[in-house]
Amino acid sequence: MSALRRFAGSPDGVVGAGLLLSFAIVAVFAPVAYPEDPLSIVGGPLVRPFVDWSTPLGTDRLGRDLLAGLLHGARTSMLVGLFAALVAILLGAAVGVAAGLSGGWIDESLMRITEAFQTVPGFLLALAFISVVGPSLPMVVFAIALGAWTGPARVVRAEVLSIRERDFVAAARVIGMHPVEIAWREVLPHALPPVVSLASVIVAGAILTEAALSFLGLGDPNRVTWGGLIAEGRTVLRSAPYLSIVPGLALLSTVLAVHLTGEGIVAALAGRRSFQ
Amino acid sequence: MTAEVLVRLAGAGVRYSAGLPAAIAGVSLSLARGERLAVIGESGSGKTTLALAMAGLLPAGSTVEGRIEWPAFGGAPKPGRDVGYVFQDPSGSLDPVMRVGDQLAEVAAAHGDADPHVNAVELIAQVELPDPVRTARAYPHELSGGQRQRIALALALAGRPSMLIADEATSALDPVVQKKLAELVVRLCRTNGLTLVFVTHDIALAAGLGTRIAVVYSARLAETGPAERVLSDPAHPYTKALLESHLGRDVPRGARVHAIEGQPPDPALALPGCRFALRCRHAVATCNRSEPGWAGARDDGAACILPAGMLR
Amino acid sequence: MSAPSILTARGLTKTYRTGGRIVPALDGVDIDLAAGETLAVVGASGSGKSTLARAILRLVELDAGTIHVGGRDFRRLAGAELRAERRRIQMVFQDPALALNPRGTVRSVVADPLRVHSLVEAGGQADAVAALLDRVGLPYAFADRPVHGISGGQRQRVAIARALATKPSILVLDEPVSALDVSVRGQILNLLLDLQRKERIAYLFISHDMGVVRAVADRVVVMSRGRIVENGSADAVFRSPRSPECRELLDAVPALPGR
Repeated sequence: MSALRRFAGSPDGVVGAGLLLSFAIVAVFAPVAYPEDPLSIVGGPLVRPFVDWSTPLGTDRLGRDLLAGLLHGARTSMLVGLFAALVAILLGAAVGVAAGLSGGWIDESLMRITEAFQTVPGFLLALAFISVVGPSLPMVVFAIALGAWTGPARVVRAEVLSIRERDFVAAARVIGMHPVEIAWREVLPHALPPVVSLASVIVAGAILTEAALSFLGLGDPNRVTWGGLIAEGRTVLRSAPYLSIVPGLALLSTVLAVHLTGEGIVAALAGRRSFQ
Repeated sequence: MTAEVLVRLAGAGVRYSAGLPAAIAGVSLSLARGERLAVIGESGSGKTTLALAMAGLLPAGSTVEGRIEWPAFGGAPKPGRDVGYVFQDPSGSLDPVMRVGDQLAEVAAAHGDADPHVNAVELIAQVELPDPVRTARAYPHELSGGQRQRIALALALAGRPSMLIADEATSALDPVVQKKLAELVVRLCRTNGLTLVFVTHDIALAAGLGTRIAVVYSARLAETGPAERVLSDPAHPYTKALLESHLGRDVPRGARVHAIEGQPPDPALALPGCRFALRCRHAVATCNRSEPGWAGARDDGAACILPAGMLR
Repeated sequence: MSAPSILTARGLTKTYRTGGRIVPALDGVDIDLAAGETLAVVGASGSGKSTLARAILRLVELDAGTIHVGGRDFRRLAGAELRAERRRIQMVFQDPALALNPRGTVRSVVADPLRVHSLVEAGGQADAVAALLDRVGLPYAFADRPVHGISGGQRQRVAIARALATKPSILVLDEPVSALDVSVRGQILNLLLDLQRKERIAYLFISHDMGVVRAVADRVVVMSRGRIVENGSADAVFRSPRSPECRELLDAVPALPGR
């Protein structure tokens, strides 16, 4: 409750969460507002924005509605951002807990693998992975997670190293609790809070990576994405710059909103810690 | 007592924020130059708040009720210069990446010392650490807990204050180290004419340190008086119970030890009566109805309706 | 001691390496504990008494030595067998605020050992928790309180209830009252004394407070730098301490005038 109040007290967090919430509403209700396939042709090509009110933001080279594409694109961006971050955090947490609790050679080898992944840029990793398995939404999610799990893994491991020395973990060993249960019930819940503040960075990064993949034509071809819209507009950048600028602004504000929300969460959590 | 009054509290209390109950309330007592006051209380009793209020170290946003006057200083004391403060955890007041001698010199220089580095070594010698010149070059982590607390003590003394407040300064140490440090504090106060406020939960430790004792319980001053009187003839049942629960080395194993049943009331709880009444063996009906008035002199009395001498 | 030993430790040795220096934490320590007695292990900080407690519970792995609990070689056990045998020897930690999962409730803490060792049948958990809380003087109404929402003394009672859940014959008590307020310290000591009298549990009582030790101990072992420097009945140790370490510990107990 008080954490929520502290969140509400941070202007960053309120603005970010407000923006994010409106994007989420837009994403959820996109199929209601535009039940038709956003890839279908609804008017003449390259209609300017604010000219024809049946296509308020205009149309692209093939006469497809930009607003419909934008709203449906929000679904893809947010879906991929959230799930990629979720997969990255779950994977990272599992590796971090295993490494931190086992110690010894298991810890050594898991951390060497983590470092190996960290040396390769996440985008290259995603690019290579998608070019091998082919673009589809689940694969895009996994490809992005592949480059993002190392951060949570290192944070969780560092937390676990300090938590495993605490008395309540020793107490769990004394009563004879199984090590897996100790990891799951006693250690993990206390190792996750710092990852939460990392989550916003991962979500924002995932949204950007997804856009970049789509821009290069490696996104799910059956879905409208902001990266894809920008790439579409690129060919007519001089005559119809709005086709790239509008989805670009959508991307920018979403990433900004995620970052601001993250700031708010960090402020809320930091307040809680200093009170303990 | 003819000595000059250093600090006088009249109905003093502290609230950390407007919505919270008072962390300590209605404390009236005075302390003369050269006296040693032991403030005894358990966690949450308000003893640390009382010490912080006297030192002027309360966090921003807290309000002081009543009056805290400093006749000897003619105004509020300057922290560090007039009042030195030693906290329970020395690592909080020591910079981990700075040699302890440099830290001492820095404080000494801030107080206008002409030759701070020489003074730093003298301060280390004063707190009876071996080989002061070498100790001055040590980092905090190279010292033991007891040695670190001695450095914290030297830091508190660096501004040459006339009053020293030690807030559970020995509680985290093992008894052997604790005893030596407590003895050192008393010795330093005696030789330098310092006034001491020693905050502790241990009444037996307080007995060996203070010329005066103040017992706080659940945000109220329960009793205060000269150490000798309080220890031999406690006027508050809580003081008496603390004395009885002391485990000396001369009480052999028996079936049970002396214990105070129950626990202190939640500080947030507004009680009409005495806050100790629920645990008190002497409580009568009025104790639960109205808060007891102060019986006896301001600097020698208790907040209890029992007639003087009843508990002897 | 005439009573047969239920905990026999021989030659316990453990060294720590810190920054190239080798620090002996335990240096050939022997311990015998008989059923229903209290053996106090005393010493200054760094004497090795806490390492001893943790080594006996297999929380710290020893370099050498044997530990027999109820006749079985505790150091040779591993995996499921070790976890099952842990039932016999339980521990109460110094600071109950640190020793209870801060996200737990009284019920989850006390029920954990019951569940881990399948000590109650389905549906019997509530009764078992109520019985355990009753033994440590807490009402069943406490069961669903979060552990951070109760006082220090109550937390230590919960920790004792957890330790009792597996019906151990030995309790290792690591400074069980030194983090508690004076006014609740006596209550916890009385609880421990009552439990021992009723249930004949043996206590290995780690402490640096000779006043507390005097009140509970049958026998006393004095440690210094990982070694036992004195060993005897409580009466003998308190009446005529032989080692300088023991005399120093006794001198450090603050005394009230006139007592």
